[in-house]
Amino acid sequence: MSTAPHLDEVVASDEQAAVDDPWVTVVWNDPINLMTYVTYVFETYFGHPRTVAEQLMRRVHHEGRAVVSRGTLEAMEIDVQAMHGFGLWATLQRSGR
Amino acid sequence: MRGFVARQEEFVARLDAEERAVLAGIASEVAVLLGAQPFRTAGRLRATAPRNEKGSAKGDAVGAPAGDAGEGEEPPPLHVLGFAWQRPVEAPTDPAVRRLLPDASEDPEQAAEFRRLTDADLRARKIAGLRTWWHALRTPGGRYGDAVAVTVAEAPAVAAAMTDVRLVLADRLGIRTDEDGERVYAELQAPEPDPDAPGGEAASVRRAFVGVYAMLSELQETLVGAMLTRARGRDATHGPHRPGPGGTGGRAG
Repeated sequence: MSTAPHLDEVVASDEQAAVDDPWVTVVWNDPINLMTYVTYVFETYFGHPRTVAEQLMRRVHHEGRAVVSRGTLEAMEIDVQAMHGFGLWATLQRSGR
Repeated sequence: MRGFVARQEEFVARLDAEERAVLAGIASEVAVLLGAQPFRTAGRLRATAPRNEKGSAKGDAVGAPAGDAGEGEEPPPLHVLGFAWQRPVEAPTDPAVRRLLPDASEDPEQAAEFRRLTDADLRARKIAGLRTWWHALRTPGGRYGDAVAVTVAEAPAVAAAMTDVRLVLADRLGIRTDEDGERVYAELQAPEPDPDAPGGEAASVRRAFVGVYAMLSELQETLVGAMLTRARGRDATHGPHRPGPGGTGGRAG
């Protein structure tokens, strides 16, 4: 599990990120989407390295949800809409919740 | 069925006529749930699906079957089988449509605003992806006339369309949890239900839809796997990019 040094940057603690990035995009687990597909979405849309994308995918699968991006409300609206376009169940919410 | 494999600028699967007809019919029905008219072949020469610049690379006319019996003749609508999956189109009431176009926030006001801004665009893009998939299924090529080709440019929208179809099927099959998902695949290992037994007809119909769901899972897995292999090869020379499934990256509102 030491192969993804960027993951913690991607999903930095909510407290820390609340200052700079007031909103987050959350992707929720569902029993339908294939792990390959979720990895593909994280890798191609967000541009994550493979190891990061796979860890994020597993976090969604095992923890039921994962923060996949952070930023302004406008930026998160774009990401959530893109996730819905991919067929992933995503919501936006204020950081730090 | 044989899953997708990469071949130059496209991904190719092999599906027999019945598999193609069933998958095309379901793609059309999901589009109808999203508010589209049922997909139809517009004419003998050109179909209605939007083509990209790579479109000419797929399914060379010489290799196409001379008389695809399905052309110009819609596959039988699936709801005549008595499977209650063709429900009213209103997004919020049909749980499957709601899953395709979910609330974007726990805050009802924010969710409503997001829906107002994005609903039409998301529906249009999903319908376009379903139509691309449908068109690929309706225009097989190859030596045996069973090669369903998706260009590299079309693949993201087709993979998303497969997700949308699987989400709708999963709703109708009652897949709510990961365990439900596993159980569905186990159903395929069980003996074929006897259609003449009490409740056997419903069991047979369910079995057929489980089979379609599993087939779509295999098709999507192989398509996305091939796409990822290709993308990872390219990323060695290209930076990250953020294309949407429709390839436009645009946003309503």
